[in-house]
Formats: sequence, C-alpha cells, structure tokens
Amino acid sequence: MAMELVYTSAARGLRPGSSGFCTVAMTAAMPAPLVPRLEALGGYRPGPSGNGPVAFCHWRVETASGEVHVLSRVGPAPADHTGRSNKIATYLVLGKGELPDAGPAWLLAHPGLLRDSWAGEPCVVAEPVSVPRGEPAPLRASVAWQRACGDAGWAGVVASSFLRERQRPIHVVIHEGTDALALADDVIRLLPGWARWSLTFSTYFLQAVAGTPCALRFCVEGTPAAEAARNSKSPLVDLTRPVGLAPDSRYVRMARSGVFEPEPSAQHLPAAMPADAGGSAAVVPAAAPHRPAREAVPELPEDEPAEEPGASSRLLVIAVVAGVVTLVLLGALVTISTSGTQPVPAVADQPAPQAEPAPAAERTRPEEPAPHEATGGDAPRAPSTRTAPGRPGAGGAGHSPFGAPPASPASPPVPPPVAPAAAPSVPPPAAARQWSILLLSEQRRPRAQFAIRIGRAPR
Amino acid sequence: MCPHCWHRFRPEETLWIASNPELGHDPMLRPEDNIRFMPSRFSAFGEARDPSGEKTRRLACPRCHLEVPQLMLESPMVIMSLAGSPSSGKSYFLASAIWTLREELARHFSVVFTDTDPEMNAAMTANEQRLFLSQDPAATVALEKTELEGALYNSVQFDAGVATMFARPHMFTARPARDHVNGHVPERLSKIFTLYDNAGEHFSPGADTSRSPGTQHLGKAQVLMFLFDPTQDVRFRRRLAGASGDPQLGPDSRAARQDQILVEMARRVRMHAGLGAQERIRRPLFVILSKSDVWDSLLRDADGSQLDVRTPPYSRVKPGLGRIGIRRVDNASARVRELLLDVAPEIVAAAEDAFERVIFVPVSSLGTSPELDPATGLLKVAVSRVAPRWVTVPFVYTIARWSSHLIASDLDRLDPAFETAGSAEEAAG
Repeated sequence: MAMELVYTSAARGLRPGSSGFCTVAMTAAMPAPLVPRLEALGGYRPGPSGNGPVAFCHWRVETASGEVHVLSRVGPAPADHTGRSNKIATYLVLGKGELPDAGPAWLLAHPGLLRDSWAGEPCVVAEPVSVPRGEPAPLRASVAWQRACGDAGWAGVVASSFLRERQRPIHVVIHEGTDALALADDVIRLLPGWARWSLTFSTYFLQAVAGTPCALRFCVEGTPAAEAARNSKSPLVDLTRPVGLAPDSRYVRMARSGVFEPEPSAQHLPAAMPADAGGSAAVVPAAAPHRPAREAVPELPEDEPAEEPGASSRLLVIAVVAGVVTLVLLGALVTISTSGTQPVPAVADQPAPQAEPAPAAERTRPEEPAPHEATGGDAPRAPSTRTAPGRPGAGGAGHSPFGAPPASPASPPVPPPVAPAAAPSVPPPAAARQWSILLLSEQRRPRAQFAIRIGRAPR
Repeated sequence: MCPHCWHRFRPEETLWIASNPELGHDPMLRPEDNIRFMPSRFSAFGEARDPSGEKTRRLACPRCHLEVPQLMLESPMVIMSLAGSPSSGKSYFLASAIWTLREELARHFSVVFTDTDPEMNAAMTANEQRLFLSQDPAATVALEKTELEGALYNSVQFDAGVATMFARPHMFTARPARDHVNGHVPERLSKIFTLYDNAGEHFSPGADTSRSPGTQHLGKAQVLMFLFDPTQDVRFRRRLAGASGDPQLGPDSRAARQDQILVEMARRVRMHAGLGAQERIRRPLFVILSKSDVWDSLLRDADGSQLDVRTPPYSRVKPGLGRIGIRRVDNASARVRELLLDVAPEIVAAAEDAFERVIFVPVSSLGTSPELDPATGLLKVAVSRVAPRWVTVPFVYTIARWSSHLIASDLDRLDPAFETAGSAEEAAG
C-alpha cells in the first residue's frame, strides 16, 4: 500500500528533539532509510512572484529492495512558529501494484491525494493511503500545450524526444502560473503504456539531485533554473517565446489530433513493452539520424525519419554497400595475415612509431629536461618531456606534450593517453599535471618582491 | 583542501572538468555536470585538453568531483564556521557582514573583498541584494528560512542512487588594493575566506549524518563563530521588558536553549578535528551576540557610561593603510562577557570550557527591529532602515590578529590563538 511522508517547519517533529524543517508525519511502515532520501527531494524557493508555484513531481528512487515510484508535492506554507517563511512537502511512495495506467501526472492531479497543509502535533499515520486506480487515460489532443504556446504538437516533440533518449533531461521554460501539471499529463498521454511511469518530471524544477533523475523539467521564467536550461545542451522548449509550429511527425500529429496513429515501420513490435526493454526502438528506427548537440526549439529534428517515402530503400542500399565494403576489408586482412611468416613481435621490440609533430599551440618544452633527468636520481622515472621525432619510446607520447616514459622491454605497451568515449582510465604523469597547475599559478606572479610589515617595531 | 567535502589533496591530484558535454556526465554528479578527468594533454597556456581535445581550465575535487576555484590552489584558504540556533539570524548576519565587508575593507583599509566564484556565492549575493540593494526604498523584506536541502547544497552520489548533500561554500577573496601600502604584492597577501550558511537545524543533536555532513566544516575551520540571540533567551527578555518594542521579545516568541547548541558545536569540532573529548579547542571562538540594537542599553563601560557599539572601531592611519582598534574590541568583549555572566552565565561557561580563546562581540545585522507583516505572518524589515553595526568586526579582527601585512592594529604582537590560521600565510610571506 502507498505510504506518505509530510515534511515542513514545525516546533516539534516526529523524531525526538527535532524542530524546524523536519518530518512531522509518516506512514508507520515507511522504511527508515527512505526517509532522508525523500527529505532531500524537497528543496523549494518561491518563484519570482514570491508566492508559489507548487512543484508536483514524479521520482524514481532506488532503494535496497529495488526502485520505488515517488510522487511529491512541494509548495509554500504559512509562516512557521518562528515567523519565517515555510514550505510543505508531501511524498507518496507507491507500491508496485499501485501505478495506474494513466500515469503519474493523472494521479497527481487528483485533489486531496497529497496534503497541502499541516497543523497539529507530529504523528505516525497508521492507515496507508488509498490510491485511485482509474482507467487507462485515452489519447486526446494536447489542449494544455495548445493553450500554452498555440500548437499542441509540441507535446509530441517532447514525448518523442523522451522516447528517443530517456536519460537526457528535457527542459521546458514556462511562465509562472502556467499549468505545468497539465502539460506533463498531455505528454504522458502520448506515451505508450510501458513508458508512462518511466517519465520522471518536476512541474517547478529548481535543481537536480544526484542519483535521482528528473527527465522532464519545467523551469519557471526568471529563476536560475530557467537560465541554466537555456545555457544547457539538453533539449529545450521555451514556451515564454514564440515557438511557431512544431515540425511534423507522427507524435506531433497525434498530439494535435488526439487520434492514435499506428507506427508503420514497427507493426511487428508487441503492444506492451517492458520499461527496460529498450523501447525507444519502437519509436525511433535504428537508422534515425544523429541528433545535433544543441537542440534549439526550431531545430528539433523530425522524430520519425523512417516514415519518409523512400527512406527504407535508401537504408537498404546503404546496408548492402556497407556489407560489401566490410567483406572486402576482411578479405584483405586475411590475405595480409596469412601471407607473412614472421610472428607478431612484442610491442616493446617494435620500433616506436614516428612521433606526430606537436601542434604549434601545444607545449612541448623541448629545451628543458624532465625533473628526473635534471636530478639524475634513482627514483622511478618521471615522464619524458621530449617529443623529438624518431626518438625511441618518446614518439608514442605524441599525444601528450609531456610525453610518456620510454618503453622498456618489460613494460607493457603504452596505452593511448586519451580514451575517446570515457574519462581516461590511465592516470597521466603526475609531474606533468603538477607542472601545469603551477604554470597556472605562476603566470601572473611577480618575483622578488617583499611585503611591508605593518605596525610598530617590536621593542 | 576541497571547500565542499574538505578532502585534502595535492595539486597534481586535481581533476579537470571536460568542456565538451557530449562526453557524457559525471556519474557521481547530476546529469548536467560534465565528466571529470585526469588530463594528459595541455595547451601552451596550461589549459588541459579533455578527451575530445577541447580546452578547459575548470578544476574539480578528486574525491567529491565538485568544482573548485583555481584560486584555491594559489592562496591560503581560511574557513570561518558559523553556528547558532534556528532563527538566531545566521543568514542575516552573513549577508550583512559580507556586504559591509565589501564596503568597509575598501573604505578603511584599502583591501579588496570580492567573490572568489560569483556562481558559488549566488545565494549569498541574492540575500545581499535583497537587504541592501532594493530598488524600492519603501520595501519590507525577509530572507527565506534556510533549508536543509535544495539550492544551498550540492549533491554527490558516492553510492549508487544515494545523494550526499554538502553545504554550498561561499568563498571570498581578500587582497590589498592598488593603493594599499602592500598593493605591489597582492598575490602573496591574498586570502580566501570560506563560509557556510547552515540551517539552525543542522546543529541540533543527531542532525550530523554521513548523508548530510552539512556541519563537518566545523572540524576544519580555523576560526569559529557562535551566534547567540539574546531575544531567544527568556532572562534577556525579562531585562528588556518595556525597553524595546521588538516583536521578537513578545511572550509568544520562540525561546531556545542556546547553550546546548554551543556544547554540540564544541563536540562536533572535537569529533571532526580528532581531538579528545575533554581537550580544549585551541582555535579562537567568537561568541557573537546578535540584535544589539535591541539590548545594547544593557551594556555599560567600566566607568558606568553607555558602551559605544555603534561606530566601527576602524580608522585610517595614512593613505593605503587602515587600523582596527583591537583594544576597543577587547574592551567591548570584556563588557559583554560581564553582562552574559550576569544574565546567561552558562553561555560563558560553556564557551570558555571548550575553547582556549573566546572573544565576545556585540553585533546588529539590521540595526533595526523587524515588523510583523499581518498579511503573511512573516517578520520583515524595512530596507530603508537597515544599518548594520559591528558585523565586520569578527572578520577584520581575525585578519589583523594573524597577519601583519593587510590591516594594522593598536597592538604590537599577533594573537597566538590565531596562529593556526596565520601560519600558512606567514610561511608563504
């Protein structure tokens, strides 16, 4: 059964000795480790008007026993017992069988589901909260988006953007007073059933919390969050500015008409797909073009390029050509590998590859010896700073201005210093990093100057 | 030392923040935080190149991965921790002190006091703006109650799915101005002051947890401040009955056992600093008595006259050099201590039992009483009447007592209690 927790500023909290911002009520069965996790989600600042808006949120919180869905309502509250500003945050933790098909926004829209005020003594709530089940919410035209920006199709843009890349946050900048919960509900109604509870959102987004994703973020104009959204590289729909018509696509048409359109290219897919089944493939074909880095509103790409006439045949041609090229390359490789009699030599025995000439802007410090070379000590060798072409062992470090240790017969092959898709797993030379940081520090530092000691001379 | 998680690390251990968001986000942080990496390539200007080849100058802590300012690697950092009970006025004090420091350090001492990282100080700047830079002179304002979560905190995911909330540091740089007598070596005399605006609830017993280590800076701080609010003490209220119309003295106002907060503060300092339970803390403690505009009539000098705690104890020695009257501050400290011994002796006992060096400073963050707004029930202050008193004294006193290069004083010798904080600077000098 659903469990609730109420968090506000009060003279006395549920935990002995607590006061101020604290939990004042919660269901008896609430797991203790979940309490601080929920409390951490309740950050709130009034909007530019100084009063409101209310933040309705859907979170997916990982716990030791698995993921739970949490609905929350955070809003302003009357002044607390110290005469200062206050807020009230109410959380509803849903069990696995308590997720209505209509989705979280539909559930949050039920009045009275989440408390909006608290008075009296702190208490433990014995009875679990009864969650309405409801019927599957039918698809309908996205009237809230129509009212907010003049084109209901933008709900389809957001829905398809989420399905395409569910880990990437989507920002929607709105005016204060806009019914963001209705906007979220419109988007969720467009989603297939398996995806409705995978969309996390906040109708008044302020700041992300690490480890608790928030996919759809409604940022109120005039808040730091809205400014950050405009500066971010994530998809953005700015409803405070004229947005025009959404680019045509299946989801956009569905949002405008409220009529379901079957997906012609994926009719074989099951009607219901589990949330973890990589369902975005049902919406965006594998041959969808790569999205640009910055998705300003007018440039949001078509979400269903496979529906274009002739797209399938073009894909087929590309696939055939790629296959032929692959076969040719494989054949060439096999020919080369079988023609030679020499075994592949050890990496250390190979002559070092020719060093790449360092770019002019890169620091190579060719005239300075490495620290270990200057001292000539027995300490483990610090990386060489030379990148002279043709020097054995140094050429492989052509990627780094500070070079890498010369390869010895016993040493493993020098890995490339930069991993293309993740943080480098190989730590760079410590001396090189320190040298650079010192360079940063020393750039503007004058030398040989003395400060004046203020005050009388000691007797 | 990282100002977020207080992890000590060497410069070469510093991580760098990738410029290219397409490289993905850091798994310990939020989705919008670019990945942190150990660079192996640098430009000629010392900029690291991220895995995609883009240049970056932004640095991050190797433990918590939160961004740290570059200046932190170049100048000594001084942590000044502030504790106090809920609604004692910590946010008002910090906002008022920071704003007044910007003005008074420049005016009296030719010292520049600026934001080390404006983005990091955004919340503090907003409070300053609300109190001191309101466009409507007739406006009445109230600062938001400090939260235990939200925008004042950075979340880090040390364990998958679990966020640890670190209080966001407010960092300021003090350095001699060009017309200062030592204005020719600003790099060597620059200092970074790091402050934290904690919620009062953070100092309640049991509130310091591994997931919310909001007050662990207490163990790292070189200077500690405890804000004592006399209007929350019923004995002060009785003394002031009829003498002030401040709504905070009303019978319905909140009263608090502030000595318990002080004892808890000392316990946490000992715990996080690795001191013995009975060991006296050698760092200086400022016991700051707030809202002095309400109770300063109780303060008497040695000769029985009213003690002046309104005019600042600063003067100009000559162009480019200012002086703080340490003797005057110490005299005020002695008078306040006498008053506390008379009205709330347990505060003096708790402070002097735990700390070697205690300085009592009377301050008023607003210089006027707030008024109850009947529409909202909030206590608000008219911005036109805001006139802080002595809020900068703990900071200027600290600078003058550990360093002899920025601010002159009327005492020859430095204070050994500040030696810990000053050692780094003296060694660098």
